[in-house]
Amino acid sequence: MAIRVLLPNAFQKHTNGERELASSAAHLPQLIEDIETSFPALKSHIRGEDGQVRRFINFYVNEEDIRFLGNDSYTFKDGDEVLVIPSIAGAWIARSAAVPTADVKNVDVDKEVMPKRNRRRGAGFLLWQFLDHSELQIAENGVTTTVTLRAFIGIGTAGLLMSSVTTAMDAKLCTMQPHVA
Amino acid sequence: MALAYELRCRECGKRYENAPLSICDECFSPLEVFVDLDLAKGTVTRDSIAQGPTSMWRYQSLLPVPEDYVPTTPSGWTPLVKAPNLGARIGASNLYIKNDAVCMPTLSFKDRVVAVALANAQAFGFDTVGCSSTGNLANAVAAHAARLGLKTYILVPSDLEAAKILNTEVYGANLVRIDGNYDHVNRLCSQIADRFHWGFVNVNLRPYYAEGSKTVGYEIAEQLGWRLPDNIVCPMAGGSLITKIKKAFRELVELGLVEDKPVRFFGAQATGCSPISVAVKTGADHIDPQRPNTIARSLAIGNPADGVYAVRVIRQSGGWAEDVSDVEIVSGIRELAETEGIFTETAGGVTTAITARLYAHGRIHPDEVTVSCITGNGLKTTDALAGCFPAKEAVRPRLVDFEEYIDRNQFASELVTGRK
Repeated sequence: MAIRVLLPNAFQKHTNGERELASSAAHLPQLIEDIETSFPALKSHIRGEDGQVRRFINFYVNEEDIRFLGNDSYTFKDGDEVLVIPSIAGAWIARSAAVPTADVKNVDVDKEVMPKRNRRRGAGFLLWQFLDHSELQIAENGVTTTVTLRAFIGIGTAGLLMSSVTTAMDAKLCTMQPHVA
Repeated sequence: MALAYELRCRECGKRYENAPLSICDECFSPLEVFVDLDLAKGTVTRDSIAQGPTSMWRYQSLLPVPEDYVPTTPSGWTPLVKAPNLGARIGASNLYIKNDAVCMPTLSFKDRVVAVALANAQAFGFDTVGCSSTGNLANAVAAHAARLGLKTYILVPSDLEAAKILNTEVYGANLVRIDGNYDHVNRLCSQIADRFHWGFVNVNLRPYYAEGSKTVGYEIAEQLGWRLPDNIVCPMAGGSLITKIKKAFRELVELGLVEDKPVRFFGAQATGCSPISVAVKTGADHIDPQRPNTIARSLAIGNPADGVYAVRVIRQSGGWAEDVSDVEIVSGIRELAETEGIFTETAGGVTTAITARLYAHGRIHPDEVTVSCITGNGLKTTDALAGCFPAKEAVRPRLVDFEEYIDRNQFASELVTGRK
């Protein structure tokens, strides 16, 4: 099994100008070791003082961010092309973290969702809109609760009442997370 | 030009001479422009700035451009308008809009960053420039490059709004649609910049490009009468703008042009692409990338380049970040247009909706001086309002038909004068 590894220009000072590497690594930690073995001068630059791979270095497999593929647990396949790219600025990467994917249900703006009469209710309107998420997961004290906020639409047009409801919910709303796929 | 500037690594501090370079070759961290403000002290004053042009180039002394650079396009110096009507709706009594929806020449704040980037592209001898873009940057690079006589290669995600594609191609740019999202496009541009001798404004010219955003901050302070606001609400895509507004304020304080005071920074994202907002809310010190899914395509960067720095600015200032659904984005666009006569794109809908939410949640006090940054024009994202305004029937040009029309549509109560 062989994979092709493409190295960025920024590495070339430490690779004698080499831009590519053929590797038989099975997974990412092995590949990093392979890169370090092939280009020993890179080792002290790839890793920080803590011995960990620097946070600005990203790995992509066949156009996909390896973090979306399972990161260290992804098993390379024959013919995979691995691209190594330092972040242009600083995407600080938690290499062991699960990758959340925003997958919020998008609601079409139509008369049913946004009745015209509500569009003229002043402050109440925007406040009402803020609660117009279909479902939100609220994590609190380690417990994740799915709340259907649409239930509040009925009182959404009463501006003052809405304000108090919003304030009361503030603490919970602050912990809103997008759905995790 | 700035009296002296150079590149420095944001992490290890290694210094570099000015060059088309964005990554440190020692620790592979991002580079940033460092401007020597000590040399500017005394020469850059409120008066010297006031005598400059009515464009972002009034701050040329604080920007990294060559000494002999003569700007060709008067970008920036956009209106800072008080927003009493929107304020009344959302409970704000001291709300301002920084309106880059009318930034010249391509109606977004990207004209500022491109102006600085291309000044450096010319200095470095590039005859071809380009960018990866979610649209606004593509428009700006195409227009500025046309004026400077540079060739352009502009790479965009294939699902970009039609208006943003047209507004790029019309300038004669070579536009390449990439079958992927912005993060795919950006990655490809990194490889292209490595391989070809082209100046990519947000890749190898990024340190210079990003400095152009500082002019938003300079202008806000000057337009408020040389004082800093209490709060900034700022949209976040790559996360650069919010950090550069902070940098601009810090520089003005250091130069003695404004009095120092705490400014809280609030970041705005769409829930369908909210990696920075999530990091702020969860207390994370890193960015977990996301796959974008939102109508706010100009903010749809799932792996934001300056995300971690944006989180840091927000947290250190005592601010917060929020994100809103696509429905709220459309509502925000309409609310801003109906109350203040400003038609913004989807990113502005995000910022407006989140500004309102921050007041509603009590995170911003009604009396505090708050500036909401509108960064793009609604004419570019009319798709987002599809279906909001069904086609109206045509009325025969007779008064009786008009009266019937009014009655039929129940508008009678809105007529100012009585009818006989």
